[in-house]
Amino acid sequence: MATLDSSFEDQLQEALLDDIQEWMLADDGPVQGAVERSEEILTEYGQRHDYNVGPVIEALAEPAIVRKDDRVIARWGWYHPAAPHFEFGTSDHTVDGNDILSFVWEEPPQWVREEFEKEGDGWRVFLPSTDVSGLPESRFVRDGLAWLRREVTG
Amino acid sequence: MSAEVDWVLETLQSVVDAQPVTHPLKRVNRDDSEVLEGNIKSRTADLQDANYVGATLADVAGEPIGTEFDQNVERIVGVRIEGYSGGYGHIDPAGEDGVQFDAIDGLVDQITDALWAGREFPPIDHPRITFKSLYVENHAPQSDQWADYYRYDFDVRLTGHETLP
Repeated sequence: MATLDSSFEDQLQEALLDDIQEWMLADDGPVQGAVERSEEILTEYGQRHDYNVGPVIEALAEPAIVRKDDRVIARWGWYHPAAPHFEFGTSDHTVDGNDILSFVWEEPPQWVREEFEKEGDGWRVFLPSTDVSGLPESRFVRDGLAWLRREVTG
Repeated sequence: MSAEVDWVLETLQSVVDAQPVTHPLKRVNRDDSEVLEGNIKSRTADLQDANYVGATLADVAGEPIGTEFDQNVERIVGVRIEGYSGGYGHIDPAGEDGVQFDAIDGLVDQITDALWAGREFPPIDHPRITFKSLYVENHAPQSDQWADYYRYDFDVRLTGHETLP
């Protein structure tokens, strides 16, 4: 007759959580899939609206696992100041120039490249003031999470 | 127009009715309207007229069940609430010259409470889908971006069963 050790439930739970942790963080696992889904949405959004979303994608904080007694928590994010603006959209805003505003604009639109001189990593522009138009929302984080939930509950 | 967005906006009728006459709430179908899109400050005139709540169909998913022509479905309706507390605005953190926004039992709570009330078998009139449950999630308060403007986004996730023809 097999004898069960009195701690077998704990051991079983540990083993199960080990498995879940490994599966969650695997290269083809659900967390990586959710990250890729978010990046796809953001890239598509960037192409549609002509925004440079590369720096946000590069600012990914790699998924980390926090292990609790009875659960496994995965955490990741895009630590870039523009990330929440892409996610939720934002207002138009104006940066006012003191008489004239001059700065080096990296990755400017085409008309800036034609009108101004290249300097350093971008183009040196002189403008009276600059209107930055509002961003529409992309929902790249929320839709990535929705994808993950369907993946793990489906 | 989608049945899900229509239902969310209709469900908020009770909240609209409960607002003080001097500080009304207006509803917007964001799939048909630009009222809540783009620059919040360009909407100051609208927000001096009323507080706004808008809904849009944000995500749709389905998964076939077995080999029959049925599927489990998921619909996500994004909801956005906006208000203004500057001159002629209808939000007042003290609740005197306007309604409270994200205080307990404020406008945001009233709206989420009205939606939570339909959490079991939300009675959405859809010819093919029987909705089973509803979740209010992904809360995103954003009022900290401005002094006088108030904005709060959340998602309503609806799950159900679709019988395909």
